[in-house]
Amino acid sequence: MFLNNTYNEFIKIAAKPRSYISIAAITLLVGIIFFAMKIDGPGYISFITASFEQTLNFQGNIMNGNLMAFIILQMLIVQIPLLVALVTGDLISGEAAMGTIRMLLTKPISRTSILLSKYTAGLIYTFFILVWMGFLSVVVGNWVFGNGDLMVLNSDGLVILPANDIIWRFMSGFVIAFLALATVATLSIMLSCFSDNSIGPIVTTMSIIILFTIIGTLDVPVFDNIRPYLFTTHMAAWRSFFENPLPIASIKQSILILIAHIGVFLSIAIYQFNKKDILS
Amino acid sequence: MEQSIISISHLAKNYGSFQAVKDVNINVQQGDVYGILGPNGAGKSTTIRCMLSLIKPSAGSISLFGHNIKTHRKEALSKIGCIVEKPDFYKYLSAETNLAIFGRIAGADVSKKNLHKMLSFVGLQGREKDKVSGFSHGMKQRLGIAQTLLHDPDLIVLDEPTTGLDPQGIIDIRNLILNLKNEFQKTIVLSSHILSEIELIANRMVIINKGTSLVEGSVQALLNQEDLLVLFEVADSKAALNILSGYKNVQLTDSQHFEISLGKNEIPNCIATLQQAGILVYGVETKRKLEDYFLKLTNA
Amino acid sequence: MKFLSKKLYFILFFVCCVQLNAQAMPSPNAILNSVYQKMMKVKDYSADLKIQSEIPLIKIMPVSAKVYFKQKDKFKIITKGIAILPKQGFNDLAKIIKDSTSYLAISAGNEKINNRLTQIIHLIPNNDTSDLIIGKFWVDVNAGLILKSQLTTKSNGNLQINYAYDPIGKPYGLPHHLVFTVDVKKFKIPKALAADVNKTQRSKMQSESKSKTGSIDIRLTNIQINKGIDDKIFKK
Repeated sequence: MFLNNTYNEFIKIAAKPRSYISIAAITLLVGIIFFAMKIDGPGYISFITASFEQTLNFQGNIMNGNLMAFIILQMLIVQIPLLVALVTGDLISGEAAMGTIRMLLTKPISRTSILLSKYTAGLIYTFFILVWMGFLSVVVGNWVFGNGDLMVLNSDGLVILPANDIIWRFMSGFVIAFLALATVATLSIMLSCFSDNSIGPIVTTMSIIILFTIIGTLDVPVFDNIRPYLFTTHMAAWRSFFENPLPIASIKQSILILIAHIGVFLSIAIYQFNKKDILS
Repeated sequence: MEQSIISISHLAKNYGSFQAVKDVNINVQQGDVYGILGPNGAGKSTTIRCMLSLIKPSAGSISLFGHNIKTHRKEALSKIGCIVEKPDFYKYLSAETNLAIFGRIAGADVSKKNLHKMLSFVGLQGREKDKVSGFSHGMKQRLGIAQTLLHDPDLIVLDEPTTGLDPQGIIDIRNLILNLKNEFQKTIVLSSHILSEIELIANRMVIINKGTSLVEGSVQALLNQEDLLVLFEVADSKAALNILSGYKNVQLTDSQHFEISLGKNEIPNCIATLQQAGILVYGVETKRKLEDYFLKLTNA
Repeated sequence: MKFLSKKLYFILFFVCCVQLNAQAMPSPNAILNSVYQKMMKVKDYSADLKIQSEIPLIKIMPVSAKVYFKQKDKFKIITKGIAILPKQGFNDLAKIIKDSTSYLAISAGNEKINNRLTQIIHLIPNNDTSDLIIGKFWVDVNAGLILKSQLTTKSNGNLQINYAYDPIGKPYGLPHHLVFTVDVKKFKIPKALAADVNKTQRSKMQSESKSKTGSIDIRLTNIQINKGIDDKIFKK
């Protein structure tokens, strides 16, 4: 029954026009970035290497597909979570608003099963979004800009990674990125259980992400204790795979924090959804 | 002994300090067409929602087919098809897809053949691929009935099934319910505030008022406890009133009509008395008593 | 008379020695010119490069590349990855020492490098507008090879280069191993891009280089000199 309902949920997601907004938005964004980089890419590179270029000469294809993919992945910080929340935040509250939740919850399937099947379908959708972005950024990016070493700017300097050492980093980065987006999806589904309208959970999810991101980046001592435990702090953990050497401890910590958040959000969602009186 | 399909005992539901349901007791037997009657705000919908686990009761027990709804929800709901308030569907999906979605999790056969057969049964043949957003209220109601029946449930629960329908629609629903009872031996529970519908369809009923069940039992038995209201058409109603002065509750309607409360067995005697007095009797009609009965109970 | 003759012979002998010595030690300009002439024997060359960089604020693995050079000034590095090369000193040494009228060359003594005696020559540009402030060259006069150079420029500070030559490159003054030591005091990370949301700790970001120098080690192998190179290679 769980699989049946997951299939149902995927039919619903696939049939909703808003599900395709995310795909169109990503395609458009990637296209715009490619266009901008084609026109003014060297200028962007110069900005990064300006202080080095007086003494050093950077040879090779710097403006390559791998760099494009990395730049596009940066969008994960704000834009993609919104596109994910747009769909997952509507999974429960949208049904309540439509009234179909009454029909759904009088069927011989547990509420937990219904919630988990919606959650699973939401995660599959999130995964698909990420795969699409990965395809556009890595595959199409390499086709348009060519392959080459990846030059990454971190807070402690430039890291130049060999081209033959990149693919596993991107794949690992995408796995962590999926975990980060899954956290966003779980948060929005949890909020959806508390609401009977579609917009509330979506806006609240984005507000939380923006607020936590601001707290995480403010260089103020009072937030030092909570910063490591905010899930937004670890949403960019995928970047750790582009450091040399790999900060294994930091990556493990990020994975644990994100999984912990998913666990907490999902538990609250299950509790609330089971407890909720359906009055609409 | 008939099997009890639904057994609700001392059901209560509070929202903060407000008691939506105080003490409701319902017993539905197999094969019943069971009516839940009550004025607006009486607690009918709350009772039905509690029965179907949409709402958590504050007190009391609910059991369906012998399964406690709290502990064995899946088993309890597996043999039920229902429409709560108006049937809502996914507007962006077709009738066929909507039916498949609900049927799939109810354990129904969702093959195209079966779906089309069910849509045809409810009069929606040819509309399988159409999006529900283009359906009228009546068509959605039919689709609702279809999703209720698709998995061949033993119990059908309909909350105000004729709301918003035109007279033809009401007749269709009535006939469908009777068909389901007689031909398919379904047990049906329906709530309505159209009392005539309950009287025509239901064999058992409960009347709920202010969150409490007042009376429960066979419709006929409940109605037979009270006198019938009989309307006479006579040549001279004034003269007739004089002849019948010994009877209680005689009311003049117009020069040729009067109403009188009589037991069923008293009607022939009354006719004979009028005829013996030379008053011509043109017609005798028993008026709907349930309305009065209902109003009497709920206003008490 | 006999005493005077002895003294006279001694003085004469001394003067002759000085004269002979003066004739045996070439001038700094001549030394640089002979080095330049040697370099000019290379009409074209190609080689495989292995570049290893140790530069603060930059983490990079050793990189392979291919270098092509053709007279007068066609120069191309081809690499599949990203290679970091010094801006000066790799292919422009000949240009610096070419025109003896544009600089003043002064001998500044001797020094042994790897057990080889070198003459230190300071090169001061005549032009105030030149970026080069001073160039120092340690030249093995006998071999006619520069073993070490130090260029001080207005824009980049000090650049020191150590050279080593294998039997293939020796006749042409073409080193097979160069080690560049660059001045990195001015290196810094652009602050606008250095915000790292991934950091869980508020720590002082290392946006400026603590170390003063970095090094680039370049080894040339498979050197092909004067074998002919198609001009197409130098087109972008």
